[in-house]
Amino acid sequence: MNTETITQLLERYFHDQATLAEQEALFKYLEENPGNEQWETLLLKFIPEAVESGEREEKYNFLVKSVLGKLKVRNSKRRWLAVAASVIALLGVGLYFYTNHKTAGPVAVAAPDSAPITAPSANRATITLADGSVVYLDSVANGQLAQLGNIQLVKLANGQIAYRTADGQILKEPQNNTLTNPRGSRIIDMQLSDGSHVWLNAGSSITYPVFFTGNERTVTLEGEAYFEVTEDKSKPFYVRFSPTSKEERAGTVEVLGTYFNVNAYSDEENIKEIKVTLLEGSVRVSNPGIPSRIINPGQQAGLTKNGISVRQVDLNDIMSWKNGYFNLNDLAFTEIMNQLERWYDIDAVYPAGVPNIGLFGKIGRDLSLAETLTSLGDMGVRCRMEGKRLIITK
Amino acid sequence: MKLASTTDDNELFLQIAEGNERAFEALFRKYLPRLRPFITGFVKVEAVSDEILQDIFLKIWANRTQLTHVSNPCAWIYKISTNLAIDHLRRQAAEYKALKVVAGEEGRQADDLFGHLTARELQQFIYDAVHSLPEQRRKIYILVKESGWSHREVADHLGISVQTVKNQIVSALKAIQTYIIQSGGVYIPLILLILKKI
Repeated sequence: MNTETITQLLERYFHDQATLAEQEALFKYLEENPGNEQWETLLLKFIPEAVESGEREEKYNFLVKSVLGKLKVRNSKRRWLAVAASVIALLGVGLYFYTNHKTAGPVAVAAPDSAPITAPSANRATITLADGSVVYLDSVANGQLAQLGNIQLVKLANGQIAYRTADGQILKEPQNNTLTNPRGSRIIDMQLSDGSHVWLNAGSSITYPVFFTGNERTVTLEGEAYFEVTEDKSKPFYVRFSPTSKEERAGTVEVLGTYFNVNAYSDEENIKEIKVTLLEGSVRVSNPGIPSRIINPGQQAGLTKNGISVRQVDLNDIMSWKNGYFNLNDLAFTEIMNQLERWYDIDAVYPAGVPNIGLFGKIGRDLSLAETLTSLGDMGVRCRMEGKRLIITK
Repeated sequence: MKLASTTDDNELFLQIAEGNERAFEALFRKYLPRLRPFITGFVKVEAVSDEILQDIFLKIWANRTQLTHVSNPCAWIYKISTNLAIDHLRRQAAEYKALKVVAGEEGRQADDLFGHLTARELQQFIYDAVHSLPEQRRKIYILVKESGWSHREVADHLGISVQTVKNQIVSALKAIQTYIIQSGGVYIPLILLILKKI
């Protein structure tokens, strides 16, 4: 079917003149041509250029009122969420527990035998520049960190890292930088050159071009990050994952101006999947050889080399790390320990095997390790510290 | 194509980015008269068209801090709108296909039942048929038949068993079938009569 025929069909459909056969033909053609670009051009012609006078006013009042009403509901709901999050952070611990067997009697939590391990108070992130040199972010004062062609790498007063473009000549060669946030380091917040925001969890790194050239914006992630991507449909944003030695993990998240979280830690041994959780907007999750999936806000895609599963999740749980607490809900025991390992830079070992204890609730990330372990002790987890090793005995 | 004044829109976008609800209202009022006939022309059912419009503008508000990066607001809004219109056209195609199968099971051809309907009447009919279902059943039906989810995904999404999803789909199909039969005999001529009077 050529463009002219399609245009005619659309025309007749739009003006309610299409016969059933014509409608069926149009639907069939739609199904056979899934790419949106061709359709976009065709449909654009149907948006009226001018509007008759008198069209503007009362007729649309109900819609305007309805949307303005929802604006306020949305705002207050958000404010409430922010308040709720800060209350939990202030309380430090908001914790509930159950165990498979009720533990009776006191639970031993040995006092640490070396210097107490506190929650990370500083950020120890580094940026590796294209030439291999390393910038330590915490050791430098606010202001300019590096000059890369006409791009400035700056540290803002709030500790955020940003790339700023200045007037002048443009970088000829695309340059990749890598932001690394090691274990035992606070979350770092970075702004890319296109205005997109990335929050990087401890034990994670992201590689990105200093300036996005070409038709797409591609970054590579290891570990966990939360993204707030600036919409630019002409330059789709992609998050890719480097395969690790453990298993061949690859995959892509394609983004259309949106808020989402990606957990691609490779040390979570019982989880062989990359988890992509969407807060707002739209993302497509794909992996070569399997059908891609678009997920909706509130959904999480689990990406493996065999397929993509989609499930509904609690966004508060998923975003815990960014909001200042450890989430214990719906996680395997080892996954909870993985969080502690990265935050306190310790290693958990299980000489008696992984305990069969289900935990839930949240623990504030600002607690010292000893306080966190006491909380876990209340739930029946017996453990002790030896140097930087956390020995779980039950 | 003649676009609305880009400078005005850029100014509005800047104000919206700062959280100015009046600027947002002005933008909404400016684009509604152009977008509503456009979207309604393709989705046919006004209730659906209004939902889409609300969705577009609530998204603009939710992402308002990013608006400063949009160089041509009018083209940007049009692009979002056309994309949503296409998505909904696709949904209509999927729904029609499902409906046709259901109708065919009754030994009646789609032509018999829907042949005399215009696009608008047909879409309204599909909309009514699907919306005659109880809430949960409708949700499940839409996810499976329109959005192409698997039974397992719907089950996980709603926290119910796969068997329940299957049962609900069977019930939904039966209900829609009944709706078609009844409508084929009585309701469609009635609807037509009413439409003609208007």
